[in-house]
Amino acid sequence: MSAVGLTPSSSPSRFRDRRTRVASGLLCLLAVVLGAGIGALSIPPSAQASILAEQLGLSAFATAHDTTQATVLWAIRLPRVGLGLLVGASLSVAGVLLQALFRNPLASPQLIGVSGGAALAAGSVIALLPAAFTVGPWGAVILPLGAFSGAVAVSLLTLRIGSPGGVPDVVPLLLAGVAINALTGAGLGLLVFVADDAQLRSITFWSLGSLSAATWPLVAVLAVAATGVVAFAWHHRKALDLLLLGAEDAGHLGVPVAKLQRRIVAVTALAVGAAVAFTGIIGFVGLVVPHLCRLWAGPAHHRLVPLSAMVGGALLVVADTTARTVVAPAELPLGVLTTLLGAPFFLLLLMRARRSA
Amino acid sequence: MSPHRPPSLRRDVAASALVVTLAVAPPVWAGTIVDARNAHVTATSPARVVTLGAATTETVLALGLGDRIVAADAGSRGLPEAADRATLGYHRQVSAEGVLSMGPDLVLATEASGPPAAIEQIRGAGVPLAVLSDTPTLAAATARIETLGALLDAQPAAETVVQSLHRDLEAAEALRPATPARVLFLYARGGGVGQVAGDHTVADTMIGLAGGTNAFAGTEGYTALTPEAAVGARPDVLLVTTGGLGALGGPTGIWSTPGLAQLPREQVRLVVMDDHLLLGFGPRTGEAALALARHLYSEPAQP
Repeated sequence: MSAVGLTPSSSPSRFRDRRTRVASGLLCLLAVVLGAGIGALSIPPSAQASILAEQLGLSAFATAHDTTQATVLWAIRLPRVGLGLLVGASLSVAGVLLQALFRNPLASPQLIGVSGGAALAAGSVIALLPAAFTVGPWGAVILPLGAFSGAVAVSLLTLRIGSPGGVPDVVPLLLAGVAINALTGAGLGLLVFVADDAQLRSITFWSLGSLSAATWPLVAVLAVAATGVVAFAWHHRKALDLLLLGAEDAGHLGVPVAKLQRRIVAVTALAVGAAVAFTGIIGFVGLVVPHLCRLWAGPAHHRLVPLSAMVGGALLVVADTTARTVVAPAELPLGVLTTLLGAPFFLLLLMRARRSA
Repeated sequence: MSPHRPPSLRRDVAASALVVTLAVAPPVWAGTIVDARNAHVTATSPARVVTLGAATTETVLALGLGDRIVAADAGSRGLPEAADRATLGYHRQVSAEGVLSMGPDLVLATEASGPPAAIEQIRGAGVPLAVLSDTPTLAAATARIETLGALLDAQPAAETVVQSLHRDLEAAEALRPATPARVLFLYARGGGVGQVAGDHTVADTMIGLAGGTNAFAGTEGYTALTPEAAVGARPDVLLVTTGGLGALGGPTGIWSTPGLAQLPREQVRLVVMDDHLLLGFGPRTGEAALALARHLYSEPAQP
């Protein structure tokens, strides 16, 4: 891989940009078609067309489906595909941002305590609140709200501790993240100790992730979060490139480094916190999708940001489709599958990249 | 019909039409109940029932309607009669599409079933869904039987099940001696670290129904077994489930556990009962209490 990103774009590179965008768009489209088409309940393409026609107000063409098929496609499967795209994009772009901030390919949203904080808060809600608040209609509000607050609070705490004298510094931030993660892990351990069997299983399943909470209003909420993080990364694409040179050099080149770093942590905490609050922890995506995309299109952020959003979304939709079909009518935990599918693919890419280097 | 007059053709036709109608059209009924969330649920001749929660599944089986169950949650697979049904996974984490793909005309869930979004989506698809109480109490167990009896048009069967439950409880009560046995319930899964049941546990309630005293009364919930506390509890009986026995390494493993190894072997008996029977709080609660009472009071002490 050459450092194409730091040279002004020439016309072959622009051609490559377009090719990459088309390819990743097609990948996304393929994932959506796959995700909408496959599921525990079989809905033939004719019925799908008929359901979509009905939803678009063309009831004259809506002839070939029953209500169960309509509910499954419109109220269950499509929101899930939408949620997969948005959450996948948020996690991946947050990974891109943090890898630039830390100048380290090992960085992921997990590092600043988003997942740890969310897990600790969700675990507290499950294990400490009376069951009346955690199951049933109340649970649908209190659990995500708690997890989101936990995610944001813990990442902002990490940022605060990692900013000696009010200026974020990569090494203290990294160390603060490591210590805070250990702390949330220990807190979760305490909760596991006091939890009963059912609570224990709920905590475990929560931490394995799932898109099953998907509804259209939720898709709308997370669309805001995903748009926010992607737009932020796109807006700062040049500054992110410069940040790779190191904080000092970036500062000399006019990047308001401290402000940008603070904002990266805050935006990541909000977007990933919102996603994690409703889906639980979906591992691997935020860490590895940026790598995959860097291997594909190089490190320049004007390519990396949109590509990561597309590939992350597509990967999560494909993983979720697999999760809900392989053991149908039951469902595999999504967080397990993202790793099972992604990790070998990633290893393969790594080995090929080394050979060709 | 008078034997002297030949039957009129018209009446013949009418009678056979009635017979044909009765034979061809299945009897249609509509049972309506108010569920644990105060929702009115109506089921019309349900033939494809999805059950979530082992106690729910067990109750439908006890009503003699097991052939209507098309799918159940993973926890119900411990029941031999339900082991061959399609499994929907953990009952707090079911997939709405998975449930709907079974083509159910009635879904029986519990208050613990979830996630909430999936439950709403199943309702949204127009499938009747009843939420049953999952509190581990006698009242909840009998209410569940009666509710399902009303919903599935099986009131006589429900009445029989409730009666036999109460008969068993009375029989267990009759076995209770002046000084009840001290029972230590030992719970274990996997790793082999045992936990003992204190107050407000299902095991504590069952020990009470069987006429025993919980050796760990006064402690709250499940606590880790500590050697000194086990000796200090002075149990007459060690109660474990079949699953727990396996996790603890069988009788040999139990009797070599620190604390339990120091108990006077000739005075303490080991009682093993099926997990679902003892802890399920389903329709066999009476049967379980009576079986435990017999273990406590009818059998000669084993050396």
